[in-house]
Amino acid sequence: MSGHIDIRTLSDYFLNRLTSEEETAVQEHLSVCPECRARLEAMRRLRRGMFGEEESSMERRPVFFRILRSGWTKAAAAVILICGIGIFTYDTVRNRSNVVEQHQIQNARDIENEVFAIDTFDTEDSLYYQEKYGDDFLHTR
Amino acid sequence: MGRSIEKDALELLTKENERYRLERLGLFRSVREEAAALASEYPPLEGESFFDWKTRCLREFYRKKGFSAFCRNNVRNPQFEAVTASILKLHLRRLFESSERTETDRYLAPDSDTLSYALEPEHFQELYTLNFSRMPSFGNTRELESFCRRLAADNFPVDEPRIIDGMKGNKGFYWEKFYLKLKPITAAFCYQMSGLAGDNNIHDIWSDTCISVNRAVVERRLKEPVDSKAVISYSVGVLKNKNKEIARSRAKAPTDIDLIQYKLTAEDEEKYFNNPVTKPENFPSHAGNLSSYIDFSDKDSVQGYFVVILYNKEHPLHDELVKGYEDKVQRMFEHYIDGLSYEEIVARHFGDMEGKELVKECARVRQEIKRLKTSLYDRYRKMIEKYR
Repeated sequence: MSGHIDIRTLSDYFLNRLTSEEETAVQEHLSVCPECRARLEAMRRLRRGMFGEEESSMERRPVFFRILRSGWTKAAAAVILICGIGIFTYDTVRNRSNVVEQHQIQNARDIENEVFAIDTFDTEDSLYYQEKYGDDFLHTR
Repeated sequence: MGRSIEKDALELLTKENERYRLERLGLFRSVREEAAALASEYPPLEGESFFDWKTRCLREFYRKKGFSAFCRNNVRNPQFEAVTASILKLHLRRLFESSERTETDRYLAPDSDTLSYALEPEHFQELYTLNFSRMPSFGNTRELESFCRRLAADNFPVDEPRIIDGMKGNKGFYWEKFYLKLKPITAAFCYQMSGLAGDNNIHDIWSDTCISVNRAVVERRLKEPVDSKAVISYSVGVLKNKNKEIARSRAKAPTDIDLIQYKLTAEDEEKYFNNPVTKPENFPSHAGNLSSYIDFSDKDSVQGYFVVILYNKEHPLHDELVKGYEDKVQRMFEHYIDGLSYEEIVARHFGDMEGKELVKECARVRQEIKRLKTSLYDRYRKMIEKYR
């Protein structure tokens, strides 16, 4: 085998898809070619990184972590989460209705104040302002 | 560059372990330890070729390990069965690729796939019970390999009646492949008869046809004796009928639409089988032909192919897999392949940091890689479905 192993053949070697003769030819090349060996090793490392660690670490995990990862724990967490969301939503809705009520009261007060203000500007006030600013007062209004 | 016997021995045993899952089966505990011992005990002889050295090394290795007794003790071990099945599948794939296409495959299997050379689980169990229950004496893996090769040659291609019986018995293994076969044929009929094109448009017709054909075969409504041609003929009939209805409802029916035969004719065969129209470019089911590379029932095979797509930038599916994640994939490679620590990755990509800031950034990179693994694998799963 001259040059380097093409990536397709190297992939087939990695996937155990070569015949034993082809496999031996690849191994013979690998024994003298550090570059191809490095590429093959890269695929193996990637596989260990992607799948190996996860499986072995899962096996080694202490009981506490297994409890944390168990279905019951997840179910309990889901129930707590749903309750939390429920309480939060209820509070928010209640607060929101309070806010709406308060807003309505405030609006009513504003209107009331407005009405009150108009009502309070009576004839006596007109006379007072007329005296103070003269007839121009009537025009400025 | 000179050879290193230690590295060569390590490669031999690593490959043996990958192929036959020896560590998992319990033949040995550590490839590295075994390789070191092998290298010191069996260095190449003067003038010995690589092939001869490998043969001698492995023969002695398996003899010392008592491979023959090990196989006998593991005959009921599901892991050993799985290894045997994977070796058989490999030889079947080679047989399939070097043989002429059978009539059964022509009518029932997708273009690049096979039913005649496929290892249906129950069939495997029969073969295993018959041939492995009194475990033959295998001195090493090469002998096991030869035995499986002979087994494949003697028992395949599978007879047509066996496959038809499997379909009558509603075996998903056969039906899944046949449904895939029907997809491009449905596309061809729709395209030519009712003008429908595209995967989404034909999906309902395809699934209706699958259900109709399945019922007809499983409920034994086809005239006996049923063969593969009868199954495909019935399917074509259903497809024609459905397309006739569509053409009528669109009021664009050609005048001779009622003359369409409810049978597969020679003209049909020319027109609809192995026709470019049966493989429109945007029709994804056969684009990647993953089924010819991946053994979907074997986790190692599925994971291995994922790594190949991810690592090999020239692979036709690489871009689809990593699209949008290129920078993150680069950082993941630096961590897993180059062996850089999270601190080194942070220093390389985000400049010098110290104290809490560095810790925070490292945690972010770690989290990023962890999430990326999940995202890539999810994407790969979807691609498998798409290109299966």
